Amino acid sequence: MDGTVTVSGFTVIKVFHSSASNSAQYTWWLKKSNVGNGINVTGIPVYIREGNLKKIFKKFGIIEKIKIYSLDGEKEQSHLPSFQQTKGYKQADVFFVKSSAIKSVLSMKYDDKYTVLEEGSAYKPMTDVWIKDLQTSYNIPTADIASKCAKFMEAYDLRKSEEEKDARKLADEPDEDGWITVTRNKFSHPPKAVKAHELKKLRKKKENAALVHFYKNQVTDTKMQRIRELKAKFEEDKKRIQEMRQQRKFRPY
Amino acid sequence: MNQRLYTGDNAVKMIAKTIDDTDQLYAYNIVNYKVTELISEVSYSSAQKAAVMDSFQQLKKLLMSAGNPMPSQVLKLVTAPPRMPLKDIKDLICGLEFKPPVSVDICGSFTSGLALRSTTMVDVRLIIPKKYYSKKDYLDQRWLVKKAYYAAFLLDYLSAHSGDQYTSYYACPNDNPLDILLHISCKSSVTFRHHTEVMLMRKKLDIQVEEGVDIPTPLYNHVLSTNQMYGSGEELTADWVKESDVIKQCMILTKIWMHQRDLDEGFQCLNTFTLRMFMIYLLRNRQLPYHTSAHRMFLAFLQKIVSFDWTVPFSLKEDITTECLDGQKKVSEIVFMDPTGFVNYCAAVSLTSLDQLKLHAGETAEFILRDEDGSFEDTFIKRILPHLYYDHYVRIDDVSKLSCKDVNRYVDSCGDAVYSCLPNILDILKKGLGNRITNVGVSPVRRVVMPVNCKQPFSRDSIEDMLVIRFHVNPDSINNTLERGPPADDSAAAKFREFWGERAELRRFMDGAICEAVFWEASTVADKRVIYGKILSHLLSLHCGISEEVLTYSANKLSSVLEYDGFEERRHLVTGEEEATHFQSIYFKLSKHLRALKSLPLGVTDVLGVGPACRNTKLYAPPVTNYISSKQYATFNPQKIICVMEGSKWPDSEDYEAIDTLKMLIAIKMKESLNALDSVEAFVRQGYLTVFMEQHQFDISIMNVGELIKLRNNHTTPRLQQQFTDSVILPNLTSLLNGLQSQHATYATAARLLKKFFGSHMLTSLLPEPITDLIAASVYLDAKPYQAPRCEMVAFFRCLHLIANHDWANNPLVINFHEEINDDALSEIMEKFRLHRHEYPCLSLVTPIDRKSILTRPVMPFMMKLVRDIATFSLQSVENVSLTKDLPSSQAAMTLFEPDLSMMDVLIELNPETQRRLQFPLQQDGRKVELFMDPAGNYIKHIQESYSDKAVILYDVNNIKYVGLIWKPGAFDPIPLKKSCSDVDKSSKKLTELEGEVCMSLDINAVLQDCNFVGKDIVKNITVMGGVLRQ
Repeated sequence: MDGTVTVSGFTVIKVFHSSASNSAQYTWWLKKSNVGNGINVTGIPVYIREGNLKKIFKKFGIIEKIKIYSLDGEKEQSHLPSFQQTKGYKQADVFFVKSSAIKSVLSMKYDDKYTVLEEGSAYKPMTDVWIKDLQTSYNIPTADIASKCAKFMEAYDLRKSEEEKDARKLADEPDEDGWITVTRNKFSHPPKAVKAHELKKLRKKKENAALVHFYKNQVTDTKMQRIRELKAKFEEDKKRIQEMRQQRKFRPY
Repeated sequence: MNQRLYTGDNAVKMIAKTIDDTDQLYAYNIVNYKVTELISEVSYSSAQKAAVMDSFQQLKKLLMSAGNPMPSQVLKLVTAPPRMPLKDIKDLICGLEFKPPVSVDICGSFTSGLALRSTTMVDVRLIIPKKYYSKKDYLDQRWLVKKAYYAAFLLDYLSAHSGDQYTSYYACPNDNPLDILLHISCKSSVTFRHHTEVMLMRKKLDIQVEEGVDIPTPLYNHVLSTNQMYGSGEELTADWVKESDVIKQCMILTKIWMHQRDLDEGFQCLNTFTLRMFMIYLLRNRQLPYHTSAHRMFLAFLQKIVSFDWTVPFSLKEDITTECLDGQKKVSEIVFMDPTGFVNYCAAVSLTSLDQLKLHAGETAEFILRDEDGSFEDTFIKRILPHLYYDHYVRIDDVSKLSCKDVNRYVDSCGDAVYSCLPNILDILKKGLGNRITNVGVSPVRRVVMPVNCKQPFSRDSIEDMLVIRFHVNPDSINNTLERGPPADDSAAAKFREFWGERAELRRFMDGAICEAVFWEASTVADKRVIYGKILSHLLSLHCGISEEVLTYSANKLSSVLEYDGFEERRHLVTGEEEATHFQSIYFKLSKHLRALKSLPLGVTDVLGVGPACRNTKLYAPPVTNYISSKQYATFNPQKIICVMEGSKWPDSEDYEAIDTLKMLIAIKMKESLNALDSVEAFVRQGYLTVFMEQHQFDISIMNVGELIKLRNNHTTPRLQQQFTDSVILPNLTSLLNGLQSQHATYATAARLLKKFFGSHMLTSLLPEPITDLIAASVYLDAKPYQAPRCEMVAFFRCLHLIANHDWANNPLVINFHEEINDDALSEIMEKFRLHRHEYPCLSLVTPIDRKSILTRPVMPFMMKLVRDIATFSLQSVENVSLTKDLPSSQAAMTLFEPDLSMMDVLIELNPETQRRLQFPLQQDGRKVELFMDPAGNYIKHIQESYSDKAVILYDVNNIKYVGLIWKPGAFDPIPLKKSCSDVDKSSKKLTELEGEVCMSLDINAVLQDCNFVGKDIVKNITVMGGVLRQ
């Protein structure tokens, strides 16, 4: 594959750990970012730092800033702790001072060898990443979260009670056609429920009341039906045994 | 008059009755059908019969025209005579000339049409010319020696005159090692082989059952009389076989049944012929119905075997004198005389082997009564393997070195160590183990076959140089540490002292009595398990002079498998059983704390255990940190717990955010009140609560009662399914398995053994722990055709057998706790399974709570084959473990637990140094604790996240030394890049062109370098195994 490889708008480059490595570790996908003179890079492993990125991109122009963030973008702010294990790949936005750099970045060649971790360059060792993850997962600011949660629940309760009120109000007002929709909420006192054991008794009574096999022909019919079923099953089993015989299932040793 | 007398069965009941009858008739017919199929499968067809007769005629012709053999061969035999207590051996045979036999004819089961194809040989009887008899043949085993020499002559003749048409062996099927037979296999044009047994017979030699001059030789006498009266029951058999086809079928069924259970051969066994004669005895006395189906008759026969009083002498000869019977009773345990009244069929049968037969018969009868149709396969088709049937065994090596105290028996059996010593050993074993065991069986000593040119003298022990005695244990008393004897002043006390030797001591018991007793020191479960071995080695060395080196016990092996170094303060090897109980007590303490929490807005209704340690089946791994102090916590292997809260006004179940918020609030409250307690440290984590208590970590999630109920009814989406598994199936499983554990004390250890097995074969990631627990449980709940296991090792072997032999493709494994799934539901499940096989996982476990086998979804089909192969292979080596003496037993057991690393495509070896967890401090809310991070575990997690869609990642959860990668099928297939490519995983890929389209495929070198880079300091070595060439 020669020259610049572009796949649906992305420029693809091969990235190597060091010049000694003989095969590419990653394929990075480059695109012009939506804001400013930025390049969006996807496929960055967790141990890469800004400095490593700088190494590759500094030759295209002066870099204003580099921002690394996780692949699925910034999560919306929530009152719950939204900690996530560091995993998978990240994205980065590389902002250049001049817009002219972008064009040359996007024409980077697939076959060129770009190295990120030359001797001496700093990267995050994975053990550090893991320890930090573990620490963050234990360091949840409970007091802060508790108050936020309490607020959320208050708001939630308020919302719910208002929804209910609205529903009640709506229930009493006729709509455009002049109809009043009757909802279940209207019944503050549902009709008295039949208790479970009473229901059982009732059912039993009903069962006994039904005339099962009252006529003689009913008796014969059921009997015949059952025998027919048995016969069918017998034939089926016979067939199964034939099959088993063909598979030599009856061979004891 | 009472009105009730007139109310007959009403219509409904009448129908039910008739239909029940029809049902039974139906089962009866199906079984009959199966019996016919089975018998046609095993018996000779007419063409085969003709072929046998044909080759017999050839052999007969050859034998009848026999002349003198070459002198050199005879000379060789004379210089290497069989070992026997006889000095004038040469005089005995000198001057004997070889003459052809008087007659050669087929006898035994082949004539009556009862012979089974491929298992039994055809018996041929030869009658030796009268010239060879002499008056003193009844002395000194002379007759047997003569017979042996005649056989040698015959062989010489055959090999000289027939070329390589016949291959012959000496064999010794009976208990006397001198009583030999010839096996002659015929290599004829017929496509099958048949063996011809040459039975030499002396005719009209007039000695009675008589005893030698100096020493009584009942065994030799028995051999003589059997030889003399050979075939005495044949006419009778033929008569009864002609009488009814059912009898013939029943005889064949019995034969198959015995063969499947190894009852038909072995030391002092009741062979098929004798049992057939017993059946005839019952028929003659009208104690066995035969106007029924063969299967029903077989059942009745089994029941009769169990209920019959074998100790009273009985006879096929009607007018036999009581003196004769009494005389026989003096020399043998069971007396069953033949129609002539001269031969006791059971002269060599011991009561121990009879008990074995009775045990098997009783069990089979029970299974048949429970389910006539369903038990057919277990009774006749499946082989019953001794190492799965018995609980424990003891193996005695170097049998030939046993010294026998009973000189009479020794001489009688021509110096056969097994025959002469076994009764004594069995007696001591039974007496010493007492009520610890329920049943003893001697593993069948295989039919000894020796090549004709073998120079060694005939002796069973020269070939089978070991004796395996197996037994069933009584689970309640096998591990008792104390043996209580008679009171000190009792007359039996001296005997007790003599029996136990120096181990006997006086002890005072709780009831005030002072008794003789034997105490065995044992503090742990593992110690208790080997008590029976200690007893045996003590008693056998005391009474039989068998040293400890030649004894092997099955129980010793178990501990060495589970053992690991305990914490440093304990300084000894532990098996983790005590640790499991210890954990349980902590868990109960914690749940008590949780229930008692006052400051919560809602009450705690229940605490459910999810993790394996809560059901006692967690495999304890060697701890990697040396010692964990009270303020330091290892953050691996947390046990999940669910805390169920009351409250009816929880947010709707679809409102996840509100529910999670509420749970978080409760968790924070709970943490505060738990931290107020001593010895408990709680941390709020994301979505759950981590609690450290006495060096154990618990992860507590909070659920609402309503939530659980809704989950039971609706778990269609993947998220709900996961929740259903975690919070309904697993807690349910925990309580069920705890129940099972209280019923079968060995269950937990068996499950742990299975986990250890899968762990060491690096398969745990394929078969998660709950699945292993369930498989182990199924062995206990449905043990057919065996009894529920009473010993851990056997349960483990049966699990392997189940995994290897269950028809996973066509049947789910139903684990029916408390028989909750009734028959109708079961047949419905089976039908659904058959119709919608693809909707079920490849390994399907159906339990009452999980009828669609949700739990086993993660198991992948192509790895299932691997799991089965490993189980099959291991099972084969199990047999060898108990039957080879090359390896010390503990080492042999360990080989079972060694992984086959060659199956991996990529093998990553980890640095043993990184096994050590990294320690770092942590501060939360002003409290300071030390946590440990597990680099190896995190490393594997990383690899799994990066490559789990392309490869299966295997490792031993308990002891991470290696990580193996096996590429999934199609892992290297190029994926064409379509419009959206941002969601495609971009690691270690290269771009390729395929049919003009840009594709992406996995780059192996990049994978290896990535694994190496991420695992810096963790990885020691990465090897690409041969499997990688498959791409």
